[in-house]
Amino acid sequence: MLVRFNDRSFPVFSAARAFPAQSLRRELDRLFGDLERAPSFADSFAPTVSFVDTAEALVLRAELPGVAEKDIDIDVTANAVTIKASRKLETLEGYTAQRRERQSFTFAQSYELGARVDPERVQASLKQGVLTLTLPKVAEAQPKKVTVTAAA
Amino acid sequence: MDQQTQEKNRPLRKLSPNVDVFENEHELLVVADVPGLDPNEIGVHVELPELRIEAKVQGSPDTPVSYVRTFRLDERIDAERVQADYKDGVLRVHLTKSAAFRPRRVAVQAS
Repeated sequence: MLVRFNDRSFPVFSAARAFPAQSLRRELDRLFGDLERAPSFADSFAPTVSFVDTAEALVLRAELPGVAEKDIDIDVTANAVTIKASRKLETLEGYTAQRRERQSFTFAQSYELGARVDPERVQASLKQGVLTLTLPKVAEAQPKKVTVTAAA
Repeated sequence: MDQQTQEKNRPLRKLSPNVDVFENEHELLVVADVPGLDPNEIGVHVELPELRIEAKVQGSPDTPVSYVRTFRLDERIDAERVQADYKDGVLRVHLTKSAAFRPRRVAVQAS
């Protein structure tokens, strides 16, 4: 499977800022899709992915409606995460399609993480089409509270 | 955080979900990608000739999201018989056609 590294090789916080571009791309896909469903555009589908940095962990949230658990692959290293997901839309027996905007897709994306995480403790859950990946930071990467002591 | 601050920092994202519409002789089936919702927060409103699907996601760690999509239906739909289900972030709305508009086989009797 193709693993596409994003050309904006961004640290974790710019992932959220990259969103408008993906949104625009999606809109363009839709515009062109209304004229004709071009397969080349289907290939460029990118689900909405966001990161939240809590003190203890990086939390990735990816919108993957209609994707089965078995069709999601996640690879985590200490400083990167790769997500692969795909869905194949079934044709409905006995129905004719009046409108088709939803797409089958194969998605693969790697994200460079802004903090070192412990791959052994990563947790993933899929709920109502949303993948939540909790990537606990290693102790050294967690913020330290420094107590100020009054000089004697 | 007070409401005003929240609105400034996190404007409500309004999305128009991608939708498929299928038809057979009994119904129209609307299928929409609307991930991450509480089923109780999904509004499916049929006010002929309009079908409106809307949902708000509040309290998510991300920017709040609102989905809205409106369709014009024709008179064939029975507004009393609309069913919706939500699974894996995909909403399916079954809109049953009125009996009068469903095909009925008429037997020809030999005279």
